[in-house]
Amino acid sequence: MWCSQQGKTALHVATETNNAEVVDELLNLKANPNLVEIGHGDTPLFAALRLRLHDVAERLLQDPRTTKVVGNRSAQELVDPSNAKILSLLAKPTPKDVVETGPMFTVVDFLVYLLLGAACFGIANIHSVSWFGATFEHDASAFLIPVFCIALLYSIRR
Amino acid sequence: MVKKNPAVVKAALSNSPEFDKLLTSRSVNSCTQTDGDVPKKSSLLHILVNQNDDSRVNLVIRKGIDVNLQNARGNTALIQALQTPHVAASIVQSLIHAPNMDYDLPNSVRYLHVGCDAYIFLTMPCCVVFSARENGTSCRHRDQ
Repeated sequence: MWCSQQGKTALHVATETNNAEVVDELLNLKANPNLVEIGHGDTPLFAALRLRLHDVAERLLQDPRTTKVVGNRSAQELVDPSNAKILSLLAKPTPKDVVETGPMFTVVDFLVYLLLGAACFGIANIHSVSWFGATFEHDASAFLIPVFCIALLYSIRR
Repeated sequence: MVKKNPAVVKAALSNSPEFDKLLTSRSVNSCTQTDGDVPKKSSLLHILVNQNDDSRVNLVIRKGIDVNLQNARGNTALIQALQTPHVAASIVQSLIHAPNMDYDLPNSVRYLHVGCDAYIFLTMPCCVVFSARENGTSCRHRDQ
């Protein structure tokens, strides 16, 4: 139930398996090279540089759409200073947009929170609640305990 | 109710010659309903990619399968093909060049998680309410 969400596109997977021909082909077919996966927050370029796959990184950099800055991280920090070829490719000018594919607060989430709120309110309004043997009568703790449980579970999930 | 795999899916899983007969433009988008060798919700394309069956992958694409179907792990057939080392390069090629392929579909399984969480959070308060009711009656009984 708590398994991780990856958010990887085909380009990420091809990069991580060091499949340079497929990366090339996907770029030719206009796959988006600027989508961010969830685990490391990497675009395919950042993943390639992190895994030291310089062949794939070169091909990604030859595409003019590839961004070299994601958030406050620059791709330049991940490159060895000795690797002149990649550094010269990084020096070229770039477009700026990075589209996030990470988790977003969706309509479904909103409905779930709404239902949870209603359920908690229902608990708070009945005469008394017993949690693990202790009885709470119509006070704040009857409302807060399930809210804390839910907050805890959600923080584990994130 | 126990869910069963459709006949086409069974034929694909067992690699039987019935498969070509059962494959129609209506049944082409059917998926596995149970976890087995392949994850739940795997489409015919996922199964055939796993079996490394080049000719049948092409056949299924020609029959008009939705190439962007995601299995229970959120992987499309293309991502699964790229992740599996033994899959032939020709299969990856035919998947990449399949019509309507969405290259930017991320393998996220968000809605499944929300569903699980909602199930627990909706059943938990019910348990609490029922236990509270039961306690109330038993107390009154004792007082009398």
